[in-house]
Amino acid sequence: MTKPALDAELLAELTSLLGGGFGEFVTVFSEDTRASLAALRAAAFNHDRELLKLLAHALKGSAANASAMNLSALCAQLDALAHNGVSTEIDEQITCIEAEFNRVAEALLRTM
Amino acid sequence: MTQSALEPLRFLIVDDERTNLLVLRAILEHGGHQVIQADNGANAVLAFERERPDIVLMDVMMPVMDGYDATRRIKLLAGSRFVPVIFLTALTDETSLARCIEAGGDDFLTKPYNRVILQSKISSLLRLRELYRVREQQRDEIQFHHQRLQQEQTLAERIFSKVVHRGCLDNPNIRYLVSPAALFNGDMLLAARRPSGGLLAMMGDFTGHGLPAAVAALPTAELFYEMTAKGYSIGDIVGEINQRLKAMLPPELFLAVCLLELDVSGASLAVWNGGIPDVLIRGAHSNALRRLPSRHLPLGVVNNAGLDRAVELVRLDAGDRIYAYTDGLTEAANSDGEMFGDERLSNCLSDNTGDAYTSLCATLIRFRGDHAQRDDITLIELTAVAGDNIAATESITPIVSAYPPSHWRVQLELKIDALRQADPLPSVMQLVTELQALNEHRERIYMIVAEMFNNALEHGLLRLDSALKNSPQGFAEYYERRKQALAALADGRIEIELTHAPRTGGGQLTIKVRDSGPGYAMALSAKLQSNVSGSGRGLAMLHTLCKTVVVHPPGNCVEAVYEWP
Repeated sequence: MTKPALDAELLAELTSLLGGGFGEFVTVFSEDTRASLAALRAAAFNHDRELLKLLAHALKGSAANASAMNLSALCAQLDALAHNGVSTEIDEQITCIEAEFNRVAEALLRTM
Repeated sequence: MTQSALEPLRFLIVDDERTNLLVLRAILEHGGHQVIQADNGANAVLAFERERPDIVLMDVMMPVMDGYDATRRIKLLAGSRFVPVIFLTALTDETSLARCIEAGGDDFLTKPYNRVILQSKISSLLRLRELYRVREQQRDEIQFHHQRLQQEQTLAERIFSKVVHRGCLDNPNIRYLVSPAALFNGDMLLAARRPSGGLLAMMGDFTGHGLPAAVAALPTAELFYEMTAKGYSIGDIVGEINQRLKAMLPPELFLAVCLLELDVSGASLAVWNGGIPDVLIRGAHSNALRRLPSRHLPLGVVNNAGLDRAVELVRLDAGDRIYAYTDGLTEAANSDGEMFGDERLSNCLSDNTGDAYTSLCATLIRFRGDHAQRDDITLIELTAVAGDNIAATESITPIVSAYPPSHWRVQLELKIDALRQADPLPSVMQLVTELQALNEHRERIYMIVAEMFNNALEHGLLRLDSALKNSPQGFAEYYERRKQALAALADGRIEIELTHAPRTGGGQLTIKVRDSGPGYAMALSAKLQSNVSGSGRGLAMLHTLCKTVVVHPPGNCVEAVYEWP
């Protein structure tokens, strides 16, 4: 069974916290994450492990903010791979992250 | 929400992640706070300057300027104001956390944010901020009060010095050292002329120093000057000051005091020492020191009934030097904790190679070095000289304008019990100055009345031989006999009659003193005629001061006429 894109409990808390601002949050999150994913690809292509690590780390945090705990976990794995992984593993992981992000974005839009 | 909702704060939140800012802002706004945001360190510093927020939440890794740098700059800008900076970090390694503290951070919050933890951190920082604010406020208040206190003290000290340090300490036969340990001196040193031309000095040392001692010193000094000027005896002055201090002072505060009276001829010293170190006398012709130890309790300890007013009388030679000092002198310590002590003092004073007073002061300064003074130090040196400069002494400023010259006569009859009890002269003088403002003649009139009254008492009634006073031993014996004879005398009476009459541009005071004795003055008068000094000296003084002096037979009535201008 696949894990849910969004943690139900955290999501409930987030929507109650943001109230009318939830829509803005979803927009900002989607835009920024898309930009980060592009940057991840570029860093992987350039073998810039430092930047890769930094981006993975930041994405892990913002995914958690959006209650996308599975995406956050995938970013944490990438953070670890950036340290000692081989390039193919890293590319695969980024692909997973991209797919997961699409799932999250869809789920967030459904929530609105 | 909780406590923080009661006090809305301005938060500056700094993060380059927009979703972080959105979440943080939502949390804080739910708590009722105001939020300002910045997306990197450099913008954070600008926003801090512009908005002056109360608390800063700071991300660490940001483009342009990171959180460490921004925090350092913000803390610098805040100055003495306490603005907590909480680092927002996903980093949990020790090095990163240590860097946060080094940069001036006050706390951390790890991502992702937990609302409850954030709230409690804010609450704890608010408490810290409140503590800081109260401390600042108290510091300012203390500073304010301290400044005011100092101003008041300086002002009070000026008033105090005027009252306590006037007098005739600048007389040529007085040298003194006054060195207070605090702004207010707990020691007192006063000197004033007697109406008879003599000199009365008082050295006092209150328990403790500073303000309490100074407050008590004021009425003491006033009493001293008033009573000295009016001619009250040392015993009376001591009694009056004691009574005042006993009523006024708390039990732990009292006044060790020493009164030294040099008579007008400079030939006798009267001493009353209650709790001051030994008065030392260095002879003009020998460097041996005579000691007059304290024989009484300090003032303000017992009631007047328990107070011994007896003075010690000492015969002096011209040039004898009298020293009195407070224990601050012998207890002055050097940096090794060693005290100046009696021996150094005695050595300086009995050293005959130079000037004892100068040598003592110099030795004290050398001994003490720059060691801090713990007690007030006071030292006085009186030199026995004849005070034949009565005319030159300052006259007491008249309190009322001169009355128009008038005719009056006062008669005072003193019976034996009155003679035993009190010295009537201050009251007589009070009467004279109140009836006629004769202030500029007060000293002379006092001398005349005193001489005539004492002759009537000592020679007329008590039949004492003043030749006894010529030797040092006899001097003390004379006063002892006077005391005994007065106590033993069964009956006796002295009448004093003063008659005032105006003259053109002045006036005339006739003083008549009659005693109930068989007559003594004819013999004295005869001695004066034959130019014999000694016992006739008093009469000779009368002749100098008065226009006429007449002795009525059988010699128990003397009449003197004093005229001015």
